Amino acid sequence: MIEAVLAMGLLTIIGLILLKLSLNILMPRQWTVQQTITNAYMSYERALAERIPFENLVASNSPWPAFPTTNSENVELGRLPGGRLITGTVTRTRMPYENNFPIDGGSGTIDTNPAAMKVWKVQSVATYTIGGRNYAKSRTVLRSQ
Amino acid sequence: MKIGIRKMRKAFTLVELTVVMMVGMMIGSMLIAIFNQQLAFLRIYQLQSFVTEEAPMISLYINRLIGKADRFRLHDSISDALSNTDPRITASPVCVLNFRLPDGSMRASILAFEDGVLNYYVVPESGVLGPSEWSITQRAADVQFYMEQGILRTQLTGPQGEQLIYSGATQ
Repeated sequence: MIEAVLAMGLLTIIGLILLKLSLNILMPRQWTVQQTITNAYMSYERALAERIPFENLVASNSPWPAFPTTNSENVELGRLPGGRLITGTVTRTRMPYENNFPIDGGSGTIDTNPAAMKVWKVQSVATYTIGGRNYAKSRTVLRSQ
Repeated sequence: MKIGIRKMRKAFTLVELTVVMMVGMMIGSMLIAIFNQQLAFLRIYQLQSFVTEEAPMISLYINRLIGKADRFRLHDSISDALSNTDPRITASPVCVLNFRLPDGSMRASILAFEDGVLNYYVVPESGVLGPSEWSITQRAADVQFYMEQGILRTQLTGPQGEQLIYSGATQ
């Protein structure tokens, strides 16, 4: 009888250890799945920020309005295995480089910025919720003219 | 007679036998439960493997190719791509990438999703397409290229319905 109890106890311990080991592997994999899917979406934000003509970027109806004004949009980030849709919100804004002229949001002068360069940090922040947890991911592109 | 009684006392009683069998069954059930638990985790790993293992490699290849290209065109079929007929901007399984060479000439390559395989072809100067250079993936359920606001987007659908959309700008 003692041997049987010992065997059951040992099996229980082995089962719990295996469960813990499996969960240790599963949790980072789930994190990787989320990262892969959301990284794929963020490549669109980066590509669009790099491609948009500069005059459209700084226009009054720019997809990236000058900070503190922001522009939010609900987007589909991708689908998890099983087809579950991941949706999120993308918030876009652009911030001026401090050496821009005042008209471009900076405090530069003709002495500090003789070429009248306009430099903007174009930022997109995606926020999404999976499994009750909130995540945020950002991409920033530097545009200048 | 005394010897016979002693022998009977050394044997298991019915209750003892029942208890032993139940304990044995419990141990067997626990072993099966542990085995099933491992199988369940293996199934979960298998379901996730496309996104965790295959998709990052596909992303790496496609983004590098598109990032190095000078222009692109979308077509419904490889024959359309080779003859440069019916270019489109809607979802298409074939994407032609053009690269400018150092001598100023252009060479083309084709990314094509055909028969469940995403193939990469380099178009020879003769224009006659040979076998594909690479098979980028054989596990995707669908691959579609389309254009949105001037950005080339690649929608990758996996075997479990997972969906990733890569985007890239040409040079």
